[in-house]
Amino acid sequence: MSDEKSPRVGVVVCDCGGRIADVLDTDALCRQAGEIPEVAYVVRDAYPCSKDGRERIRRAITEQKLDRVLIAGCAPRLVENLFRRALETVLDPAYVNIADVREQVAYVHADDPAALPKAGGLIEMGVARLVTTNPAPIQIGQVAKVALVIGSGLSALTVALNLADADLHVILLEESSILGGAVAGLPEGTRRLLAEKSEMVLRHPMIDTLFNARLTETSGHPGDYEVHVQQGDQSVVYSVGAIIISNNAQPKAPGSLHWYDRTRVRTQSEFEVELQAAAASGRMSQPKDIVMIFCAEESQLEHCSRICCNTGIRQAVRAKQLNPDANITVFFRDLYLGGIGETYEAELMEARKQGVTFFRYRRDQLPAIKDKTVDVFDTLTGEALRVPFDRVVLTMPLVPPEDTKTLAALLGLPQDEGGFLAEPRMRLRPGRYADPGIYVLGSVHQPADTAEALFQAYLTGARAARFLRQESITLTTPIASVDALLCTGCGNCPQVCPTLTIHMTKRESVLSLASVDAMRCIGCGNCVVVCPVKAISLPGWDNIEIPAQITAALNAHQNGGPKILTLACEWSAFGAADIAGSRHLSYPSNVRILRMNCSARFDPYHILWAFINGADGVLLGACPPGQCHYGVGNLYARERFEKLRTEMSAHGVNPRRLHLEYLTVDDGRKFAETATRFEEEIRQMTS
Amino acid sequence: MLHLTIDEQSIEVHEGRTLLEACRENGIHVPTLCYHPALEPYGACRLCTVEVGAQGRRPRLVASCVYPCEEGAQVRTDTPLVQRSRRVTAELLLAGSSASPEIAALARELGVTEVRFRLPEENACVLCGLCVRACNEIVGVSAISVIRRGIAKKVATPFEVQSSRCIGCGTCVLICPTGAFNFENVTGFQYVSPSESAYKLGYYRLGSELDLRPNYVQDVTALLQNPEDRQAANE
Repeated sequence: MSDEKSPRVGVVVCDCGGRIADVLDTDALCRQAGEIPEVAYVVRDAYPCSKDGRERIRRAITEQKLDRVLIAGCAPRLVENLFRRALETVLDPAYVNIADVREQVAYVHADDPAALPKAGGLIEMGVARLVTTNPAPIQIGQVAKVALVIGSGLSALTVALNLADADLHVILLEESSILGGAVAGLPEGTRRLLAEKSEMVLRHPMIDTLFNARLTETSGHPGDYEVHVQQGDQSVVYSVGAIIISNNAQPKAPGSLHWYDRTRVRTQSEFEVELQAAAASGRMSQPKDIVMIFCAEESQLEHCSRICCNTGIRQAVRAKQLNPDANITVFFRDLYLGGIGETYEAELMEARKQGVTFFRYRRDQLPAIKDKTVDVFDTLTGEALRVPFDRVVLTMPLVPPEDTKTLAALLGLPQDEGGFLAEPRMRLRPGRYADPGIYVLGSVHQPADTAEALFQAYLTGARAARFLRQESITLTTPIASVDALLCTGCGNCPQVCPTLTIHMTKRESVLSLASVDAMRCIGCGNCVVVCPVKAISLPGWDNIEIPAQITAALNAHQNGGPKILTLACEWSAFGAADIAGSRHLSYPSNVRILRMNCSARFDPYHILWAFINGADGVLLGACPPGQCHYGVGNLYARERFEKLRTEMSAHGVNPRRLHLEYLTVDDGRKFAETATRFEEEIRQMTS
Repeated sequence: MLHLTIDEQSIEVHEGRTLLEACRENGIHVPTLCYHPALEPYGACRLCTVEVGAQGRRPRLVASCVYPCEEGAQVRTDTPLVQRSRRVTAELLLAGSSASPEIAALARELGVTEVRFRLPEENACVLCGLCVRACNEIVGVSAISVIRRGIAKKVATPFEVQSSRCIGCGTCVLICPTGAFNFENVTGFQYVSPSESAYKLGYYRLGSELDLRPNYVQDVTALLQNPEDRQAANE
């Protein structure tokens, strides 16, 4: 709208080699498009997407001095990028739009006389979007060539050394006063490796090691984080490009489920110390009757610790070597013997050969430690067993480090059921696919053995080094921006932002003002909806272009029936509508589909606008709960939908005129059925 | 510019174009299945075969989607040899995917009605590779690829475990001509609630403050009525 003169729009109507032209009269479609006031140039093309076709469009843009182009063809998902890339030298990508007249008209309304008006309507919607839209400004972010490594376990030390060797500055945060954490219960090889690496880290000129330090605050975005580190009683601020989280999981504290006295009943790591002492002296006469309980207290948790079976079996073999007369019994629930590039089945065989006895127990009948015996129900023979002991070894599960929750909250990372940091899912970052500046590895992610920890460390080192070596980060996805003149500082938007991108800042040290960190915004539009004064704009999905498209969709002449508008999230309902098209699943032609970025952007104002402009029904299509690409946009959509329905019925409007449906992107059949059913319902309501 | 003859028509094309592109540019219809303009040509389905001959060379069948235009080439798109080749291809495709509207239309167009072959599977994947190429070239993600060889060849994610690379955009399902693509095998159901508690907290606090009614309108009922009704009510 900033342009003074009205934009010149070009419309290219595609024949698709007959796929469209056999159903729709494309010449008539061209005539219809030509009647739209903003349209300056209309052309029909058999294959606009071919190399020559794209060349023709580019030529037409320069010759006809067009500044917007609409291509009436197939699904935008397939060809939008193709056209945008082909035309980017002459036109901003935002000014290239696709009207889906193949999947949404030609394929589904083959024998319907209303097909042509619907195609015309789609072109009008497309033009309405083009003349109101604004291009997304390109964001360029700087990359600080510093990495922050949290933790000092094996994986943390390795990744720190890797990055430092690549000439990148590393800041290593350790909570305690020594590197390596609790090393006492670790196998000797790992301890040696840790000692070597600790030495190298302390000597390395590119690594700053901060002891007794913890992260208290972070802000910023990938490439340019500002981290506050509390060290003793002083707080220091560092600017880092990447944050690598690699603090170690800890064995769960024993005693809540089994009897534990630290002498006769010990944990696996305490037994490791005992074994190492015995190995130094060369013999172990006591204890003689050893009972190992795998998955001790695991029943309270839902995850497998992945390394304790291996360790336990190795310990059993070593104890047997040190004392061949020892009776070693292992109670297990399930054995996990996997590892990177190898399995530990050979160790299991060795243990069996040495005479270690294995019994399997059930989760609901846990081994009970009595005064002199351990009682268990053996599931294989179906008999209750009573095994005498003078040493019980409890294999405690690994649980995430204590500060995981704090870290997750600070960095906005998801945690899984076990409390470990879950990988940020690809689907949550549609614009960018992953938060590139944050890496999670080692046992804070899931319990890992030495080989796996090293493997992850090398991998992360390589990825982080590549990320940090970039000159800058360029983003072209739409991002929200706040108009400082309109913002009242109400504080609504920071609360609904899924990426915690919006912060309130002080204006003239009194009034607050929302500000968006552009590099972290994923463009869901949730903030735009909750802003009471509409001070936030999101290029491409703005408060001007969406109502403009709604008006165009409803004004276009329809075939007598009720007017139905569908707001369709492009990651679910819009994709499903396209797939319904490609499978030729027909639905009523008076259903108009408006492409939205996310259901979080379904604005109650826009829905009311649709009703005001004569819509008989509004259908909302969102991703099923838990599958939203922008976090929880669909849950917000559901809340707003329910509220709006209550509001509608309170004002005497039939709330059934508004309907929300969860759709997955591949479910074309469900879309066609939903649209048909909803249209039927509205038809009955209006007749 | 290159000069060649297609079906007795003298044609001029830009260098680097394929025979299929030259045909389409000049309104000569060639059936295709695995070809998509947004993707690199693949030459898998062999429906686009044409006969190419040059001076002193015997005419032979080539896949026009991958065959580059050559100076002086003599191309024929409608000889009995081409027709027979396409019909057998269409028949084989139809044997596995009779339910697919796209393949049924192709077969109808080529005059194939009867199928002499039977496949154990209905709606089988025809290995046209569109989904794999779309995921790689359009989406830029490469969550799926073609695995194994021979009759075991199929489209799958690496190690056939649900992919964490998949962004769930559905382009693969959309571009699949047979409807054989199993989306769940690729993306699975990744139930995630990254900050459901935060959402609840924030939203409910907000919910009480947020008024959904447009603040410039006093009476929503009046707005939602038809303009004629409103006029009548006013009078």
